[in-house]
Amino acid sequence: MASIPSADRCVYCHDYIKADAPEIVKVMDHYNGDKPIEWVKVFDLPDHVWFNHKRHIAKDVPCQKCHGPVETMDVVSRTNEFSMGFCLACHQENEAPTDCWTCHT
Amino acid sequence: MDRRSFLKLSGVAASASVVGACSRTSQNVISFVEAPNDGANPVDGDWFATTCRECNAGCGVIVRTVNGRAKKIEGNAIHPISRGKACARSQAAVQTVYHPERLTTPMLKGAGGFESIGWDKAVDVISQRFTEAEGKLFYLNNGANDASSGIVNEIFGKMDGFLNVGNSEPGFESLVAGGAALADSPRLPFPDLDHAQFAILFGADIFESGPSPVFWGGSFGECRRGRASVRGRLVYAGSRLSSTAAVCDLWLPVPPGKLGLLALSVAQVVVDIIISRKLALTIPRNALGRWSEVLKDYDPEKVAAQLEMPAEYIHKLAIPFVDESPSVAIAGADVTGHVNGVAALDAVEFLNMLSYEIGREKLRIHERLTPEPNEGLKRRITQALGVDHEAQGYKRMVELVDGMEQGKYSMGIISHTNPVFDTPAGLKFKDAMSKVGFTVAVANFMDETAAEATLVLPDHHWLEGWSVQNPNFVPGVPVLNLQQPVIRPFVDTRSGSDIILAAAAAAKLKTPAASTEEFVQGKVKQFRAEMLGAPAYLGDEEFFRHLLRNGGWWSSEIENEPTPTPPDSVLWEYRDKLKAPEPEFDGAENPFYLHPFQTVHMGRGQGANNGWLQEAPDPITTLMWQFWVEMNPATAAKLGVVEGDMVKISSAHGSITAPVFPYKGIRPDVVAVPIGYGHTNYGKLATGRGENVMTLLGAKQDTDSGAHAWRAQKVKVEKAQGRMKMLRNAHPEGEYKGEVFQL
Repeated sequence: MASIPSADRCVYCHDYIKADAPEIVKVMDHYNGDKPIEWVKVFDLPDHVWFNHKRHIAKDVPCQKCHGPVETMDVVSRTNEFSMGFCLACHQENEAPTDCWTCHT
Repeated sequence: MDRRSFLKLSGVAASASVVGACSRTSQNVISFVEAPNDGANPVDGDWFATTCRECNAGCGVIVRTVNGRAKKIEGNAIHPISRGKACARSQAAVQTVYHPERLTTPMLKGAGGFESIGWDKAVDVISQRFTEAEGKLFYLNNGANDASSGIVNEIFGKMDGFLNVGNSEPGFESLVAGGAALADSPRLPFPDLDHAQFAILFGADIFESGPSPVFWGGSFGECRRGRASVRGRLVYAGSRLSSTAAVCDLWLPVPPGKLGLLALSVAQVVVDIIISRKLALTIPRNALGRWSEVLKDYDPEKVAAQLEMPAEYIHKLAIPFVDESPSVAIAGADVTGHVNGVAALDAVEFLNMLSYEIGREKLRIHERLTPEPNEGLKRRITQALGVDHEAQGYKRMVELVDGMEQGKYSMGIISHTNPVFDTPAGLKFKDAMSKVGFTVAVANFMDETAAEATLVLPDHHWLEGWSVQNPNFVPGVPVLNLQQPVIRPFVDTRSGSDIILAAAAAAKLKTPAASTEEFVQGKVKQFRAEMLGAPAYLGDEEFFRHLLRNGGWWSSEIENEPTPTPPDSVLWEYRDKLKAPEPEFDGAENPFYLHPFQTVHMGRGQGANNGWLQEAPDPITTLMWQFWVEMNPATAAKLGVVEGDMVKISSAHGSITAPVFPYKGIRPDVVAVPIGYGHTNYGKLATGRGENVMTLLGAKQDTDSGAHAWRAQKVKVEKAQGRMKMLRNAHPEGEYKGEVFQL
């Protein structure tokens, strides 16, 4: 799982860029107060699902297919329910393996 | 279990885990406020160039620092001496920065021993002493030409009664003096091992001690593997198979003190070959005739008995010396350790001169690419940072001890050297030191010398402080090494030279700079105009930063002019130098020659408090954390001892006991003992580990240079009580001899 960059990484730029925006002010408050930010995960899979981005990117599956049109969103929200049916439909459509162990290792 | 039942079982396990994982884990991800930089990732951190100060070779190094902590020391690839390599001692230096026994506060000796005093008081005390001493003081360091020595020289150098002494490596002044008649000025010999096809090492333990093990190690690599079709061949002559000798192709166990005789005998055959083959050298034939006349006495048939080897072996050295040109002869510790050291060095340099002329005739001389030599600039840099190489060493130490005995000095500063431990018992340094009213020890650790001092000043580690250094290697090539603080001081130390500057200013003495950093900048400015290849468009400040990034200045590489043949007058008169005086020994009535030697880890004893260095197995014996005496198995059998049995070694000056390590690579009449063990006051890792071989040595000196003849000692060896388990890693004769691989 990719990790979230540390808050000081945000501050490098946002100390100058849109420093007054309310959401940025919140980030700055966390940084100045030495309080870790608790990011809310928008996309999450249960622990018994093994998912790897690398293979999907290698097959040129567009990001939007799962994550929705994130490039147009101000606040990212979930557009698809990440259910087993959602995964299987796409696997069948692209002739990807549908063996149980593909995801449930 | 077959595949089907395996899958069934796995399915049960998998469904169980699904039931257990029904509740979701946290949907929040907590990120760091600031990314940790813990140095675990090798790409993290900043590399700084500086100069290693573990010995005086002056290797350029780069240091990786993470969060203000030094993590790793490596060689600086662009530096002409280290050539991208660093030795074990250099790499272990990070251990000494964070050593729990580092001195943390200045201490003044009172009635009840040392007492902590603040830094302000330390400066007051020293400045008061400076005023009272009126120049009657000495400065003693390990032979380094550096900022500290330069600063002291500039403050006190012109005062009557001031003495600046270097307690340099044993034999250093002989190396400088040897062969001086053939070179245009006294300097260290510099045979080109990189391009040699054949090399004779006359007791030269160049890969483990001496002026620069790292440089010579690089040269050895070039000699062996640097060329596609040539594998350089090396022969080692000397009384012990050292770790340098162990990588050579042939070892000749020559009796102690006879290496000059061997060199002259080889020279006799070489001159004969030149005459009989009518090689057209630029040397005048008259000179060849004169030499042939003088060298007649050194005919292999005549000296073979003295050298305890068949005469044909000498021919086996001389013939490839001509045929496999370019060839070189290198002299080292087994030559300079005897009273006839300089005479033998002259003989070895004579061989090198012949080799050069033969190579020139055969068009086989490779003029190596080196930084441009500039003897004048080199000398001026040396003098700006202390005293000339010729003025350092044991001869000066004797002068110092005499002066202390006569009460010439009311004050002394001893910086980063431990003469109470590493000078021979015969010099009686400790007694003389006690006659000086006030001595200051500038050190990182408490050691035998600091314990005798009146005031102890904890100095910065070399990774924490400023300095500028002139390496005692490469000969003739001017190098100005810069040492910069790569980390903040770890404990409350001050730069020793800063304290001297502050105290001198308080005593109203004229000081060259307000701080060491300013002094270093001043030296760069002073020599800038003469620095070849220095970018002219930079201001002084930017230029200084530019040099710091490189680790210092050395002139850019050029293709050297061929070395000129020495003038006829030198060649003709050189016959006077061709002599091999008999060696003399202290305690000549004793049966065994004592062969003290430096190991690559302990040095002169400064490495003994470093756990990494103690843990590193000795290259020959593979012993760790342990002291030993090497003797031939035949000698051991005669004494009735086996590996681990204790023996007592004694001379008129003292005695030590040590466990025996039988070793075939040593003459039966020689016992070898490593230097650097047997500290009495150097922290818990070093104190009490082994015994100090220097306590056995008398004060015999080289008859020409005055260097300490540290191998001119004979001793008694007898069986003592007790045994010790020898913690060796493998068998010195190779792993097939070891227990693990024994069939």
